[in-house]
Amino acid sequence: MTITNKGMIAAGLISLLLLSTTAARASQDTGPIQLTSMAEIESVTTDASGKQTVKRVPASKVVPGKDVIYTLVFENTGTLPGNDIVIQNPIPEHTVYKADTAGGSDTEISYSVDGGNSFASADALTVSGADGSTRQATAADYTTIRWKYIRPLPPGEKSTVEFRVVLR
Amino acid sequence: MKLFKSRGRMSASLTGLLLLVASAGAHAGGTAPGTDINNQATLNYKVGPTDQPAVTSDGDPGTAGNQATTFKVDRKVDLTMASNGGATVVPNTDDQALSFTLTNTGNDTHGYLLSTITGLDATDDDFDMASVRIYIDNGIVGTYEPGTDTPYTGGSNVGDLAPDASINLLVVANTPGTPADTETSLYHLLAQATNAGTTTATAETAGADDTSVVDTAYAEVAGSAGAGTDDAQDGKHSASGTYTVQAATVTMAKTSAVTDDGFGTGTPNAKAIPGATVTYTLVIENTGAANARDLVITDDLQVANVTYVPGASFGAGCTGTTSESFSSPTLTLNVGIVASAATCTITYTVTIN
Repeated sequence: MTITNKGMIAAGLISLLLLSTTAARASQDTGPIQLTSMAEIESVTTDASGKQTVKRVPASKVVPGKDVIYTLVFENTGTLPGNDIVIQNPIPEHTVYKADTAGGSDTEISYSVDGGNSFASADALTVSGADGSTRQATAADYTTIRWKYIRPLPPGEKSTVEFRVVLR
Repeated sequence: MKLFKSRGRMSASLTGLLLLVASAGAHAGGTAPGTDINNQATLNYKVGPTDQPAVTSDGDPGTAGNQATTFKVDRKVDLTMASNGGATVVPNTDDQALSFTLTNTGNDTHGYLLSTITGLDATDDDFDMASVRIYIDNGIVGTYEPGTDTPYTGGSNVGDLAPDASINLLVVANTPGTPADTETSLYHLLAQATNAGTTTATAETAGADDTSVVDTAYAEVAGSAGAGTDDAQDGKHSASGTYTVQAATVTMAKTSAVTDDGFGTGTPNAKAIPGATVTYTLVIENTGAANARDLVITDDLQVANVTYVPGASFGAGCTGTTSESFSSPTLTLNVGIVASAATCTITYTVTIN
């Protein structure tokens, strides 16, 4: 994987994406639906009165034990509506999914514990222990998250899904 | 869909890696600094009934192609100093040890500078020990062994520790003669993380983070040494141990009684007439926490008026080796041990001339 420099703020990323749309069409990797992925952390700042403000900044000073928030933005840059949209995201290596953090409007969320071969809702997932016994899967067992977008995505529209992990 | 399938296989191999990491779970310090964390999602969709080529996510729209979203794991400076308990000490004894363990709980190798901080008299403790120094505890953990344990030189790197590695340390000091029973003396042992192999304190990276390089962040909690000396996230950690004095506190009382007037009359009616026997009773009581050792009691007898009758009697509370000797006019009684909370009763007799 290429090392990328994420030294830009979230809003800048999105506007840059919009600006680059025309150019991106020329690339063979880009279809009518574009998908971007952002890694961010929460930064807490305290002002003079002691009031704390939490804002998201690009993933920086990420040390083991820290939360990382991934946001996936999907946008229809084509001329026809897209339907039956399914997004899959393997949990990044060295990280553990944080329970109940996957979200996204108009989505059905399911998880995989077998590397994306099968998916089920969180309460229906089980894993087998070394002794052959079966137990309910926990967030740490998840290997992949899947979002099914239940609406069509008209041209020019975009939506987001997100999830959190903890760096091991 | 072809691309989606290949993505599926990649997921499976990724899972294998994850399981490997999980099974090596002893690595509590966490993912090594410099490790790239990559994320890439895949989107499949249709236009009407027609499958469209799978779309991979782009983490860097400024670069051609769809790049993974990547950041580098930064350096987590985390260290834990722990006390393995206090020590009980007897006044006037040298080389008394407090046991500590320093563990690297961060994700990179560091060296460490060590220092002791004296507890504040009347706030933390009652007195100060003498000749306080630090040793690397190479032998029996918690026990000072001269020649085996290595003295630590102030300002030096005690030795590099890999993530999760630990080192046992001793604070060794001499107990002065002055402190009383149950008095305490407290010492903090402070460690400061340095760059591996050096005595240069590891600095936190200032300013904005660059996701493409390894930055350094302090992560440890505040230690025992207190605000201003060992705050949270200052690259230092400390713990404290306490010396508690166990001293002997010996009191002695002496009584006498005429136990035989020489004509068969005993206490209390016997009179102190010539030829009568007088019995002296010494009651030696140790109310301290430590055993009293090698007691020597002397009594100068009025030899002009009395004659010592050899054969002093040592009671059950007088343990160790007991003996008596008489060198006119001095009677000397030796008791090996009067244990903590024990009472030693000695009786001896004289006759009136």
